[in-house]
Amino acid sequence: MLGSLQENPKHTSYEGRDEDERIKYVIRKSTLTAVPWIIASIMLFIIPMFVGYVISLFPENTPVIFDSGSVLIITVLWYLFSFGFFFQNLLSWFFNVLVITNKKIVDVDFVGFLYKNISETTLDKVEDVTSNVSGPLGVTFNIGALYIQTAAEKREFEFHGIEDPSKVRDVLADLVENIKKHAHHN
Amino acid sequence: MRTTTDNLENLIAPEMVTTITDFVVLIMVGGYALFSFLLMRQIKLMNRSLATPMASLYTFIGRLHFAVSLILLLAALINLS
Repeated sequence: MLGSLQENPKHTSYEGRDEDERIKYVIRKSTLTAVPWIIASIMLFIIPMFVGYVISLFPENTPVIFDSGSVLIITVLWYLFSFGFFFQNLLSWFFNVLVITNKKIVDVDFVGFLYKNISETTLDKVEDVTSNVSGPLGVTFNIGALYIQTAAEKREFEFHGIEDPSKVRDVLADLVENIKKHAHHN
Repeated sequence: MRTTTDNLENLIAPEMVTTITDFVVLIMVGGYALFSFLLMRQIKLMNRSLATPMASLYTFIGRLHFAVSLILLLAALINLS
């Protein structure tokens, strides 16, 4: 469920899928790309534990600016915000995917609340699939990018942060080859 | 000649300070409630764009998150009054 390359996912569909279309792969970013926001979320949850200590350092005659009700509301709001931050990032990671069906490649992009972009092309229009791995972290964890050149209106599909991009490229290239062979025989 | 005040209580009455902070807290909670509402709408949009087995779980969490933020908004309103 949480892997970069999910094969024949069950109960998965995308908006506009044809009846005879089967989803073969769902590709999302590596779970390792989620590490920075997971650490940030943990830190957000931990910060309130130090607030009591910081307040104890204030002089005794420091004027009170928050009543007890506000302190409680701010505390709950902080934890809710920390959870919201984690959840928003989780959703962004989970729903930014490249869907490969037996007919098409569909790129689903969500950025924040205000941007949604879905691009698709048929597999027979795919001309070239390239993968690369770069940088110390990419080489260490075998995380890289996939570039799909097409003859469609959208010339290139890019997908970054994929685990084992060579394997994904190979799988996709084989699928495209089969489609083109099949089309040629017909 | 104008001089600076040594004590901020000379500018704002002490009983007004907590009222102002309560109001600021209310605005913050209101802003967060709006964020949680938008997040709930976004989940609906995401689930429509890509249907997965996780859809009902994400919808539930989104609604719960919004409900908690509304309860907090109500608490902030009560705290202000």
